[in-house]
Amino acid sequence: MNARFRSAEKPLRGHAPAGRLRVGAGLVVLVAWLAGAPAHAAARAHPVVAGSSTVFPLAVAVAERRSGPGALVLPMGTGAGIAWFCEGLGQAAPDLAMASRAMLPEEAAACLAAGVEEVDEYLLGRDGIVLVAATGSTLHELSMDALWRALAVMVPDPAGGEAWVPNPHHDWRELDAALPDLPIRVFGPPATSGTRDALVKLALRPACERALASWPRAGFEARRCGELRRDGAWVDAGENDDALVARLRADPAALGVMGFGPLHRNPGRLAAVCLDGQCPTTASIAAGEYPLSRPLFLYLKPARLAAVPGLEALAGDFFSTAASGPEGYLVRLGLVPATTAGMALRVPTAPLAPERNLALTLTVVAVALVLLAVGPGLALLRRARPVGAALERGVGGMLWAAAAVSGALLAVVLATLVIPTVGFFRHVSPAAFFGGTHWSPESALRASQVMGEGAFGVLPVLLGSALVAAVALALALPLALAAALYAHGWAGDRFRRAWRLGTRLAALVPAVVYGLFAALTVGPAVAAAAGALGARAAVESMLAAGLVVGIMLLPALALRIGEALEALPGSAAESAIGLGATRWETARDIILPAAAPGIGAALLLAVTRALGETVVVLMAAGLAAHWGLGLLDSGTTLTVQMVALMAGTHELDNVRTQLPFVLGMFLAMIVLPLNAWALRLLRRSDVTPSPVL
Amino acid sequence: MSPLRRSSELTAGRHRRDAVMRRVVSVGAWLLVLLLALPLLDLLRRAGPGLGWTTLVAADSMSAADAGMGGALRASALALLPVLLVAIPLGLAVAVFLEEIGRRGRGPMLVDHSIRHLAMLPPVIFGLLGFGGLVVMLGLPVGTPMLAGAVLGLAMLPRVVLAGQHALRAVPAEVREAGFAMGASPLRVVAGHVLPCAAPAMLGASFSVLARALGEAAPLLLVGFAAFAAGRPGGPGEPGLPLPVQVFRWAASPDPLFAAKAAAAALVLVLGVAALGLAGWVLERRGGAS
Repeated sequence: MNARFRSAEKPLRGHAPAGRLRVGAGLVVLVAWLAGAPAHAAARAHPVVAGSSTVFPLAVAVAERRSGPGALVLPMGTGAGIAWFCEGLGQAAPDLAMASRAMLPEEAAACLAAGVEEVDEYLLGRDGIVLVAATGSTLHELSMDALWRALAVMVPDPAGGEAWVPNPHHDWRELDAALPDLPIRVFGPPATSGTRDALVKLALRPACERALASWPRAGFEARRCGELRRDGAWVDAGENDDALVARLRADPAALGVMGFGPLHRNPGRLAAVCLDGQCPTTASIAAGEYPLSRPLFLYLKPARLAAVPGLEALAGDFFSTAASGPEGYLVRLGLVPATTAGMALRVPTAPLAPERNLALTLTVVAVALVLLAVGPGLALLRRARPVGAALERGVGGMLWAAAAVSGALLAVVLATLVIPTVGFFRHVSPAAFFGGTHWSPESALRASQVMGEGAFGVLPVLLGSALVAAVALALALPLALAAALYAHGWAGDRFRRAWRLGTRLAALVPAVVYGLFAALTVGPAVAAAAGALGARAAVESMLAAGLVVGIMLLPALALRIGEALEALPGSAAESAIGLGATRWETARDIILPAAAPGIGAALLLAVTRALGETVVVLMAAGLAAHWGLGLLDSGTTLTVQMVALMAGTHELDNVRTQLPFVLGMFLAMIVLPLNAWALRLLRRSDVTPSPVL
Repeated sequence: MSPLRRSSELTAGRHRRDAVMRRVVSVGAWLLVLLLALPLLDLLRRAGPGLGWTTLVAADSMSAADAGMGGALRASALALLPVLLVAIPLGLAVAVFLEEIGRRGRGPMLVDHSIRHLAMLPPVIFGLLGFGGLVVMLGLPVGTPMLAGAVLGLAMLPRVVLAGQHALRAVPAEVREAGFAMGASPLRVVAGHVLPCAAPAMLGASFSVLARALGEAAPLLLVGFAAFAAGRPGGPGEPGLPLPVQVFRWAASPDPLFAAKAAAAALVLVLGVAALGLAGWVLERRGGAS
């Protein structure tokens, strides 16, 4: 106790006018610097490159070889990349867009409308769209027609007859007796991707139009020719080719659609499927013999050259001999270089006016003022003997302001979620969203894109979240309860001290560590165990994700249950022991019933944590949404879909870009009442929960 | 059968049950410890080929042999600065206001409630706030430690407030009463009496918050960090992926060497988090808080 009072007993020192003057001058300088600094610091001086995930590894290879301020390279798909690129000339949009198809007239119009009047296009090289499987797959050869019939949303009725029916095929053997007996499961890029656009344009649409010419059109319109199945045979697998390779290795029965680069870079891991007798090789793509070959482009805004110092050199490096020459590093990565000469950059005519970011400056100054008031302000209050009432009022007011701003943060969060949600529900009916059991959030980024009406039934995604949480709690609750009871009722003091420190530290271990454990060890172990028991399990399974989330919940849950037990007055338990009850009887009849509200609150908080867990599930559960209770299948959750669907374009005017916010709103709507309930239980049980967990 | 005998049998049964339950809960406790140790042991086992000077200092690269976490370490350090310099002081100030000054008002109660709810929101929601608010509205550049720090600061602010309130509540009422009895104003009581008492607990909690912020990846994945940042950031405005995001990216690669490097980076992350957590605990202890 003495230590606590020492500082309070210190004699209050008199104020030193000279010192205060210096402090005052310092504060003025600090505020001035803060007002100028953010605008300066937030001015971007490094290149930002965004777009096609096929070009991404090439751009990374170029960027990592440059010194100076590094470039940021974002793989987000050609469609999303160009949409973002065309949002304006400011620093918020990328300077360089990577594309695996040419910019469409519609996109160029968007560029013009946003004031991007000059865009340079450079042909980087050619690329093939390849169908791949893990090495060892028995599927080596496919005709374009079979590919279309495997993936199209509607096909001519295979049983004969006039009508086109929703695609009934489940395995490849049904399409052609020569094909192996494998289920049709194709992982490929989402609608924001240029690879997807090219697959539709080069492979599916021609086959569909051929079929339309020879079959009656009952029940099908030509403009729906590019639509892909939404019953799980086609799985949108995100914009990360490396992750796709890993997924294929984990699931040897599946096919993947990607650029030629990943195939070229993973020779022992992937095997290509030849199309119409043509196998994808550097030679066949360069010669144009491989049917699915397409050009790769770079788009540059010349107006940005003056604003971003390293941009010109970065763009030029793509075409240097070291990169695209015969033995260049890009060629080794799988680029088939363009035969025409490289690029010559122009000097822009008028440099851009420096951007002023008023909102950011104001925010930073406001935060700085509050901080100055509470830091030096409180310190001055402590020192000065006759405290000026003005200083006290000022500090008090700033504290009030800080509290109000922090409290308003919840309103700001909700507003961020509500505004895109309202926009979303103008296009999608709430009934279809909340009641639908089909999740396939296809939606065109551009008006001309061939894309089915997306299915936005959120129930399978919600079910995925619930399954993960259920598995996690089924593992975590009994163990945490047992451990907390043991530490509370049976263990000695030494164990208890070690326990307290241990759980506190363990609760801080980041989710990504558990995610790594899930992806590298638990997932394959679950699949192997299921295989040994005769069941089929994917390497990415809800069970693996749930188990690891459960492990992650353990320390916090045990700590909270321990707090609930410790908040009880000891007298009741002591009387029970004194009357001859055993420890277990005391725990069962006295402690647990009395601690029930606190334990309930701990449980509820663990549920919300499991529902909101993102990284572990993202790394271990996969992406495909199923409407079913299969724990051994891969599945998806609200949080995973939020990350997977984040398109990255800044204009939230599209169903696709609004979707993550809608899911966030939905998650918040589930979590907030649960938390309110937990808070009520906590108030009732007089437990003060550990705040940081 | 005499009643005496029956009662002794009854007691024997009760004690047997007690012994069994004792074993059950102790097995549960040790199983929990084992389950928590498993991921760390697994990391140690897998990190082997990824350990080395290159992994620790080099910048990220496409080729697994050249890739390192030097850039990620710098980005993480830079991203923690806003949490340390803004979120923690601001949060503690709000805690002081809520606990010591504006306790009874309706407004402060509302603020208190909303902060409690904010602290329990899944962190990924703050990623949406970061994208909608910080990237789109305020124009912070994506993929930079500045933005990462701002998002983490927002996500951590409510937790800091709760931690501060927790610390302030542990200060005995007599301390305040003594100050008031001497005629001090509420703010002077706070500055001169309450804060010195609560400081150790606040400091300890601040370190825990830093550890949390260091390990948080979910909100960052929504604000343009699922990307590649070339080189090592020299300032908060240059591109850089914080360490957890780097682990996440490397883990997605099919190359086993990248998996080993991801494990090595995760190990470094765990060490950093544990060091911060331990430092917080020690400071709290030495300050005399319970």
